[in-house]
Amino acid sequence: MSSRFLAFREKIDKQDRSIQAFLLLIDKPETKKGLLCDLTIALKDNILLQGEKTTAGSRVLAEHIAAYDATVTTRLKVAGGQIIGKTNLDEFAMGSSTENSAFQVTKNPWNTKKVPGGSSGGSAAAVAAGFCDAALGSDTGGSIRQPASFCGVTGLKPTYGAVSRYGLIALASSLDQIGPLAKDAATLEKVFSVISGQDPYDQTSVEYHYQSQTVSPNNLRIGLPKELWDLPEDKEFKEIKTLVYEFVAFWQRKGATVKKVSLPSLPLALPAYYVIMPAEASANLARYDGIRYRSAAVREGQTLLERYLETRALLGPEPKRRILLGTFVLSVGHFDEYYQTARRVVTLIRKEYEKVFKEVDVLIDPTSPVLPFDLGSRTSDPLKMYQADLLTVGVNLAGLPGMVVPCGFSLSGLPIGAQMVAPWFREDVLIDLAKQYQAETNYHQRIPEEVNG
Amino acid sequence: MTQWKDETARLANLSRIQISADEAERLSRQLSEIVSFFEQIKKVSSVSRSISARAITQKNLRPDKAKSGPPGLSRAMLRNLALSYDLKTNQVITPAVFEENNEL
Repeated sequence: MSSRFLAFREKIDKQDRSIQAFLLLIDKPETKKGLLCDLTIALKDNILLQGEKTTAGSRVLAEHIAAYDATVTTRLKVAGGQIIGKTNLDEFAMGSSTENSAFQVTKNPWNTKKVPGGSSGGSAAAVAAGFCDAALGSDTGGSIRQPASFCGVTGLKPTYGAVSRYGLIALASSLDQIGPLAKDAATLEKVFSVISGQDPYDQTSVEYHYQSQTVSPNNLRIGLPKELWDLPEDKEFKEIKTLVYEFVAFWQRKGATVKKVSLPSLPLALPAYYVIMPAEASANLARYDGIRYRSAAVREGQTLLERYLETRALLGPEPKRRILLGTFVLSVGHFDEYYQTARRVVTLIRKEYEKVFKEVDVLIDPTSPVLPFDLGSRTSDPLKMYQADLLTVGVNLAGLPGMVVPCGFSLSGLPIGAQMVAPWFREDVLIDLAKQYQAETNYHQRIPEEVNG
Repeated sequence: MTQWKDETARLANLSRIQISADEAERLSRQLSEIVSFFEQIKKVSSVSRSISARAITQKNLRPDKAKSGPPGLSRAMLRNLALSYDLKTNQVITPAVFEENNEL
């Protein structure tokens, strides 16, 4: 155990009471020599860590002890990474604010009256508050990128298939992807290089060997998707766009060419996402029946149906809503109308991205149309909450890599992140651009005063 | 709204989720709003179906055989295509017009 690990633990013990980023802390991590031996890393609590509770933020799994390590956990351990704890999340990663956790509400370290984003809000808040060097999150519709933007940290949603999902509690299997969050792109790169690559336990993972490269900004072609920049503008979105445009201007000054591009089907990404994701979630959550996983609702003498109903009664409002929605869109009569149509939208979006990436190397846009919002301000209006994912879901539907880099602060002192999207398996481009940007700016190094006084 | 209350009860029953009367009320309102939001994707449905219809009819039909219908496509399949083409006038026609004009 390193002195660095102990310093982080001390800080967490002192300050996490006000942030509530962690659900579980590890006292004695495994220590090995390797690329990550100087790094302390947190895991989102939907990633398995053998012998420890893995709850996915749900009362259904409150007693569940992981029987094995997720592949990413094993890889971190083998490379010497020291696991410091499990971070809070929206229940089963369903949410954009981390308010849907059954256990606690994580606060944004930049302003504890605001949400940290979600669903990897615990991971993003832990990195932002300086509780660890890096954290893993999972991204189904923006769950790494949106909290990274809200908390002012660097976050990567890798290409679908680049990182094994063996040992990740599934939300929507055609969209889920594990990825890293860190203060800076150099640390993030180390973690990504360790966790990426094919895994025989995950058939969706592909043979992929990440290699760092240097991108010359002189030859860089940047595309600005007009469907994401030209949304109806309010004061907040205008402020966000101004700062993200500054990020674009940074590259222009370095010699990059910038042009507007069009992805005409992108406005349909959000409704398509909210058809496909609940459909897959309702199927994935059917396994929590009180039989296969230890459940607090299980008692002696229950009938099978009672056990099932009482276990499902432990679900919070958001999973219940999404299970019902999923059941609805998969019902006879609605399957073609909604689910098949949504799959068709996905095909169109993928083709449009393919076409656009023949013209440009990277797409840049804001990560979220809103700044971190007040705790509790959107919980009663799920549709409004879903709309916070407007700018991120297209990347998941297409299976592309997306990265968020802190690019400034609002007048109210809240962080803003720029989203970069590259062609499939071009994480090297994204990471190098982020490193170059961070070599000349210091937004990623700022520390929230709220926790550090 | 009554329709959505019934639908919510049906879905909860299918999903083995017990919901209270208050929850049912709230969920039915929310589901109705969210499903209305989904309706946007049907725009793509009609566009891409019209493209499919064009592809199928142009591939399988010669203008002189249009009256007798394409081989391998049932009346029901053709009816299910949201839009179709009149190959003689090259105009888009609705399923209702298609029914009237074509005797398969």
